[in-house]
Amino acid sequence: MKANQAVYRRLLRRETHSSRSGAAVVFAALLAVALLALIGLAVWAGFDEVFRERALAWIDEGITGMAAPAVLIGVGIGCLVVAVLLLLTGLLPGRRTRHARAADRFALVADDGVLADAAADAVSRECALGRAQISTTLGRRSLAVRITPTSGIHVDRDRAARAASRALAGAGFDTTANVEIAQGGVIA
Amino acid sequence: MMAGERAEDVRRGRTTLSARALQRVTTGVAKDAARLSADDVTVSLSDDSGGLRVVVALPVVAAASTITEQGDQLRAGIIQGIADLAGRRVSAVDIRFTGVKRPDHRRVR
Repeated sequence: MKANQAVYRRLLRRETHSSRSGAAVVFAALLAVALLALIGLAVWAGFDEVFRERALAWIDEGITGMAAPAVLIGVGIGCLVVAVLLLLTGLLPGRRTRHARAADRFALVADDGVLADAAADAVSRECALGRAQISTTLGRRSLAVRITPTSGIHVDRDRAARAASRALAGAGFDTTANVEIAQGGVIA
Repeated sequence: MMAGERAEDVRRGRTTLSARALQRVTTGVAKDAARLSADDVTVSLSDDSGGLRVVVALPVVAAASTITEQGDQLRAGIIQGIADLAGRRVSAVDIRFTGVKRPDHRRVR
């Protein structure tokens, strides 16, 4: 099943990271249009005397207009923002909030929210708490569990953590659960 | 029954008590502990850093024990009763005596 594993790896990577092709296509298209326009204008200027004169006048005008510092700074900041955005898009991993794993015969992708809800359900069952008293957030490696206790009933932190970890382990994801118990409880 | 062999499969269920029900239970416990009727007793519940705080307003019974003794007895009775009936740990019982109730003069039947 070597071939499958390679496919799974690629699929899971695609499912857990957001695609950069949109940004790449837009940027490449803009660049292509700009370059084509430049080439077209250069060729036109090579053949047409009148157009060349006019174009040189435009360029002169443009350069004198650019000399104002405010305009230069504005253009600079604009370029900088675009550059930073492009760099971030290129360098950041762009992870989506999903967990994925592959076994011999299947590859599994699950939204973090779904897994977190499953863990919250498990904690709710195990600790006999209302589902509304538990909120969970799943990060990349750890699960944050926040419990609002029922007034006058002790909540076993370790037990809740074990239940949450077990629920995720049941789907094959190893996580450490960090349980936080709220100071105040609710009457129920 | 099959309870014996299935005991491991059965998950712990969830027993929930609405705030209203808990308040009624507490009222019942308080009136039993104070030997009054439920109409005489007003109970309100609040949270006390994860514990349950009970505020009871009721008349003091004249010619029984002293007021502090009645308060202590009532407090102990409420804490025990809530622990037994509802499984809640009561962290504080505030008792406010709002009047005096004389023991009923027995009518001759």
